[in-house]
Amino acid sequence: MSVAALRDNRAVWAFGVLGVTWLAAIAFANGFGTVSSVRYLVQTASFLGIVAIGQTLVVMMSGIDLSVSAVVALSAVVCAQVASGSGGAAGILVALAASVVVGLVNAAGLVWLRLPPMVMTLATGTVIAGALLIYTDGSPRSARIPLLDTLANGSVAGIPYATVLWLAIAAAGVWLLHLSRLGRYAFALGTSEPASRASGVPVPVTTLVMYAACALLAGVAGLVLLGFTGTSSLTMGSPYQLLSIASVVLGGTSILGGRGHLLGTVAGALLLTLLTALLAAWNLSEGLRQVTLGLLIIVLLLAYARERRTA
Amino acid sequence: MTLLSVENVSKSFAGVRVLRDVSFDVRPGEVLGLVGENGAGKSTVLSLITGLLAPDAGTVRFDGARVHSGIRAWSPHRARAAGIASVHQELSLNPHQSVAENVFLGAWPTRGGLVRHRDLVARARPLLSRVGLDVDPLTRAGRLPLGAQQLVELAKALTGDPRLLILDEATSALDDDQVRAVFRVVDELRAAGKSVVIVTHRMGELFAVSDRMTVLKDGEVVATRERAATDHDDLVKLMVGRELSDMFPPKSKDTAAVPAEPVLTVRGLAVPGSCAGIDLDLVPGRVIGLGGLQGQGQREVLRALFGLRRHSGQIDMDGRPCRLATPREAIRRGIGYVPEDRKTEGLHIAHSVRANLSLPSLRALAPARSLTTVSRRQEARLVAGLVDSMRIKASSPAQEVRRLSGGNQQKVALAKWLPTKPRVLLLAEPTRGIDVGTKRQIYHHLRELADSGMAVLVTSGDTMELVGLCDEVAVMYEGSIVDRLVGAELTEERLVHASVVGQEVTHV
Repeated sequence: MSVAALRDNRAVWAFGVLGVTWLAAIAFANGFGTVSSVRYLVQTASFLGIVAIGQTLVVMMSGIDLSVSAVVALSAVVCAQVASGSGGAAGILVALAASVVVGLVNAAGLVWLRLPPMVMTLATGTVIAGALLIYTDGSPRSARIPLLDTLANGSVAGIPYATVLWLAIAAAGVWLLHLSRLGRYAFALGTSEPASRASGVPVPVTTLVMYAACALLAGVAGLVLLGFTGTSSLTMGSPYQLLSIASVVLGGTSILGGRGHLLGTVAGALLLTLLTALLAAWNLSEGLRQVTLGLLIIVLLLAYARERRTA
Repeated sequence: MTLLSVENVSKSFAGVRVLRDVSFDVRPGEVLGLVGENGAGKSTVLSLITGLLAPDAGTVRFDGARVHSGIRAWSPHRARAAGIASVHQELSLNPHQSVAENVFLGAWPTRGGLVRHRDLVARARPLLSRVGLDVDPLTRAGRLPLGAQQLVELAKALTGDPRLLILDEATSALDDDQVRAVFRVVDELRAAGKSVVIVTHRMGELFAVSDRMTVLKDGEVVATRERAATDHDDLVKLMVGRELSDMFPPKSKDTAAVPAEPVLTVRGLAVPGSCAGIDLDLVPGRVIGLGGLQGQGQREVLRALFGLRRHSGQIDMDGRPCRLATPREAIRRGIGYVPEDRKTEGLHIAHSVRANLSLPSLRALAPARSLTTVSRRQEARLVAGLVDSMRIKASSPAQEVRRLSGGNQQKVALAKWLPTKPRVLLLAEPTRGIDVGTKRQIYHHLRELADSGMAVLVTSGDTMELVGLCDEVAVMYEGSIVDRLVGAELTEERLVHASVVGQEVTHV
């Protein structure tokens, strides 16, 4: 890739901004240079990162998934419930299957009922959240599943398993989105649906797979979170809803679809986690933290991830 | 005395000279034709006049004043305020608003700050009738056929009572009646001492309205001629340096000798509200045309055959009935489609030449045995082959299609089907808005494809194109085929006659 191409590549920008921010954090804030802080950061970023990779898959085909927060909670609650009766492995499988079903329902609504993604996924998310409230009565449930416990808290050669999982998922995502046929179809759909139909792009299959994958990853994130905290609660997914979309966009992917790179999202998730940690380190109040984070996101978007005006 | 003068203007984009020392002028009460192949610099010159671009060197004067100087930069807004209006091939209507709202877009008449629909409609009516458009001003603009939308654009341009009207390929989507309506407006403007600059690829139109013609070639003015002092061949020679006679390839020789079996037989095809009772036999080796006035259902026939429109009727492929309910089914059966609207349906214009060319062939480039991973090497080979054989001019396969000229875009829209080895190729308006040189190339490509055993079906509003290119032309009127012209019968006169006879028959 030439220098000019690199300069135009917004995913590369995302990594650049991440690097600069990290260096700034090490220079101006306490404790950001230590190995343990880096470890903690990449571990926390994994939860968001996994959800955001799924989000990238659907945003690239100019979709959006607003049910991810509900799926994170669904997966954790279902797993905790099933595991208490039938064991950890069964819990994990049932939770992931339930997540995939949600993704398929989302996609079915888009493909066959022709609902806009924003409305369809928001509706499924709301239904799930409500159902979980009825089912759990709102009380958190604790569950100790050894496999998830290791996954969330263990590490190999100093690298947390959660991070390893995240990177493995990122690699699979890169294959799916950038190397496989389906990924090409997703990009094509994200650029122009009429042109894609007229070129023979299998719209239903592409939509089903991408939304199912997105929901599956939200489910995985829910399980890792369950392992990390040891409890499942209804609100455990809420931070990931909008932050996952912010990660995608800060990673340089066009919110309109058809343009970007999945690896940019990895940088986006790390960047957001880093900023959150930085703000926490400055001892700002919770309200002030949120205000600052929101403003920072706007500044970063303006700096490199703005939509181009159509030429 | 001149209204507009362009003096020694030069302009470069990223180091590439697109205009070099261009000079011409437009007098009050004059119609100037601006001609040249795509990429000759016509659009750039017009953008300088309308304030979309500023020249690197040289001056543009409007009404005696230099426009690109002073504190306030020349802009589309200021150009309009000064009395320069333009209509382009690309539509700028808001499809969800009414015709009347579109006509006055940006300048809605208000009373006490409120837009009154009755005023809007009342004021739109005379403008619409002036451009020969008989539609309800409250119709949503997006519901009108392309040609009518183009006329709405013209009505919109006339709202400010312009002193200079620029028509940039504004007639390319119009049928003959509509073109006449546009020319009536042009004549009115000329009689009122207003001026018009017209850009069109249709030579006949150019000679019908222009007083003078300025020929651009490779960003330079080659010549400016009075209408009386030039003719068709002379102009084309100036533009391309080529005789017109080899514009069309020789037709299929074995028209009668080998009665080849049709690959696709259509009987009684009907699309609700658009066409009915259509019978067609698409034979390998032959180019068949669908002629007639604009919007007689030709487009819907093609869309139905490609599975984009719900239809009824009997369609047989190789003698066996087949269903063409979706484009995927049509493609699987070996049908390719180059739509008239290449920027929204024919191409992913924001994607690279490479991605566009390989999209229909991904099944072969990413087989299941490699887990559907796209083979970049095979893809590169496929793309290089197509770019080479179709002579697509792109800086690299990674270049975005929207940066290509219209002619090269059309080549990409056609080329992407070739690797799928289609047996039937459907093309709607294959050379609309394309320069003469590329037109010729496309005609020759289509003939070569037919000779290699493909059945080709073309719709076109350009009678010369149908006569020059096709072996047989079916003439449509109000959704039915009213005549079929083959061999010696296929002349421009017969074709035009048949299109109009259809009109008489149905209106008796």
